[in-house]
Amino acid sequence: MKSLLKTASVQISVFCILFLSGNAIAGENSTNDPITARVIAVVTLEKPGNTAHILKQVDRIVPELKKISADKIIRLDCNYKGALKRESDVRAAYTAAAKIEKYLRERHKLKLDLWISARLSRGKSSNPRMVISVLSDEINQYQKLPVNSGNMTP
Amino acid sequence: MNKLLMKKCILVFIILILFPAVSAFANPSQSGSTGLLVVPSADTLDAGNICVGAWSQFSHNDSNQKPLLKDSLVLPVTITLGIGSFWEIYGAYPNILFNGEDDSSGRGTLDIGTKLRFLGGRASTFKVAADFLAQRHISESPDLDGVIDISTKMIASYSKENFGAHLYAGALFPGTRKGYNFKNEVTFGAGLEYMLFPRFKMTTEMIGGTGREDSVDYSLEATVGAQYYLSPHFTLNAAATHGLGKYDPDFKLVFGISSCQGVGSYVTPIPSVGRKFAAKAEVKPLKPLKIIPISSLLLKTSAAKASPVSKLEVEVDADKEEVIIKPYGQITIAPQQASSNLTSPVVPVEIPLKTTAEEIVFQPQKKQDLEASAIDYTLNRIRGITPLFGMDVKGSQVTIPPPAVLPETMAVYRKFRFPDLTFDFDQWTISGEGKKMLSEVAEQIRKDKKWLYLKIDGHTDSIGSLSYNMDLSLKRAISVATYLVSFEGIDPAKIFIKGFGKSTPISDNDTAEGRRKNRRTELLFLVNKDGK
Repeated sequence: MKSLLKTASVQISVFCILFLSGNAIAGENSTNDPITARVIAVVTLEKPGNTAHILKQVDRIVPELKKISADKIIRLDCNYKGALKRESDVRAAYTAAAKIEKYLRERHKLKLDLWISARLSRGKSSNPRMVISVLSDEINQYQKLPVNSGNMTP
Repeated sequence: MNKLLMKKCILVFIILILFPAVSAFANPSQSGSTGLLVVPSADTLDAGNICVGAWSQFSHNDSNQKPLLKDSLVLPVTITLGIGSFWEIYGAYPNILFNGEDDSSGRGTLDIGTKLRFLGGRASTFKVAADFLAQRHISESPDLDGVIDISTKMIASYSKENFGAHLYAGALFPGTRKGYNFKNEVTFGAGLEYMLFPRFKMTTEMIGGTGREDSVDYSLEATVGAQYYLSPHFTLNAAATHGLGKYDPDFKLVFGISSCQGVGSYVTPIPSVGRKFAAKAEVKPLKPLKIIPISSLLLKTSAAKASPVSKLEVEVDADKEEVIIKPYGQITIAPQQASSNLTSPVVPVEIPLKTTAEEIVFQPQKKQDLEASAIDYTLNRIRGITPLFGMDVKGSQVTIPPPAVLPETMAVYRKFRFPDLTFDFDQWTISGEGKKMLSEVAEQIRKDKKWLYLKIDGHTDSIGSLSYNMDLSLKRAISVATYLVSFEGIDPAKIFIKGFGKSTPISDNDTAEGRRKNRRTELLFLVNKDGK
């Protein structure tokens, strides 16, 4: 029973998924980030290179993602403990986010526009994590700008 | 012995199954003799492609029941050439170990054959092909050495999504061998294949024939195999076979690696895993919006006119800048600073915009001389109106709209496509020139603090499967982002990346030069005009 509780607590602590609680954590994850409209979920990673274990958690987010309008842009932001000046750290962060993007796109056939980003810090308190958020319509409207014909040659 | 080997065989399968199946990759063809595993399919290797395979085959026979047969180990090598869209030639050398065990292995022949697909296209569900094969025996027995067998067969294949079924029937005409009177042999075979995971395929087959000797009624072998796609060009293959005929091996283990590659300017997509042959999407041309060279970086080459790269983008000359703005906006080009190094003068003009559902109203503009423009430029800077990112221009006249014209939150996308920021085939490593280019771009980014976000889009040419190219384009975008962050100190929180795969070509994928241009990344800046 103890081991079960321990496993459960580890699961809960490692995979902290907060559905529709953007306001609660938006400040933490999108400080000075005016284009993040709503945080969908935060999935804690053990380490960026090992994403297999979080795919089940991602599966749980998918129903929420599928409720989102197709014209929204979703940001997959890997928050990773690492050094900006270490190429391997930066690449690992992007690659972790890319794996989730691929999983959503291919496994779940998610039609949303998925953008990837990463941020790194040397902080010791927080685990690496994936923040999945919806970008604001402000950026979305630029994305959907109609292209008009015209000529502006020098 | 049997149990031990069977255990090893099961272990190999388990290991293969447990490999992470991440993505669907292109499929090195099992056409002709390149594959020893499966019943040949009716598909043919596409023109300009070459496949080679290196194999090991271990055969075991119970010496008590088959005293004439021995255990054997051979290492055959195979090659297949795609000659036309429906025609391939293949060949095999029996054993590069040269250990004299060729005869015992049942593969002691130097093969050369050809296959013609005469019914069904590459993407068809049902195909039929004719196969002709000549096999010259290489044997230490002088009676057998040099004897040539001829065989022919008709192959039918049905494939849909992850499943494939192949069937063949034919005849083998043995060569004349001194002291023997062989009968012609009827051959047949059937095989099934199933793509269990995106990179992992299971195969099972049964092949056989009527005996060519009076004492042999039939030969029959059952095989279970698997293929794992390491990359678009390399495949691991493994199989276990059990012989049911009198002179068939008790069991046989085959392991090999095969590789396929396009050659020269005839590179065409090799068959896709799961047979996903996407029809070539028609690219709807869009009219050009505008072209403004902004720096010497973009004036290095003058490439051919390119196709639009997405619905948001406009047709421009390659290697020039693209600017996409709201329909009611207009581009303002500030007068140039004295230190500008741009060589081409740019005279901005009003953008004539096509009428849309949204009413477009242009504000009256005034023309000023350079001196007056410079004053306005300075005033605009004081007012917080940012000139376009990194833009230094020369020109005798500029058009300056009144500051009030600009919407408060107007932002523009500014897209850059650099000629040196392209990639080799199947590569995502940035070249030395590309890094130099990115460093110069980063320098401009650092100078202009007003940009908000940078989006890096990765693109590929059309070779390979959809999934493979999506991965590759993402890797290219990651490479560029990683360089900008780790070597140029750009804030990663302001960078987005996205892979577009082969969906947005800017040039013709039928030519090597066009494909080179398509293997690219594009940098998209979001600049807030009011500087907030």
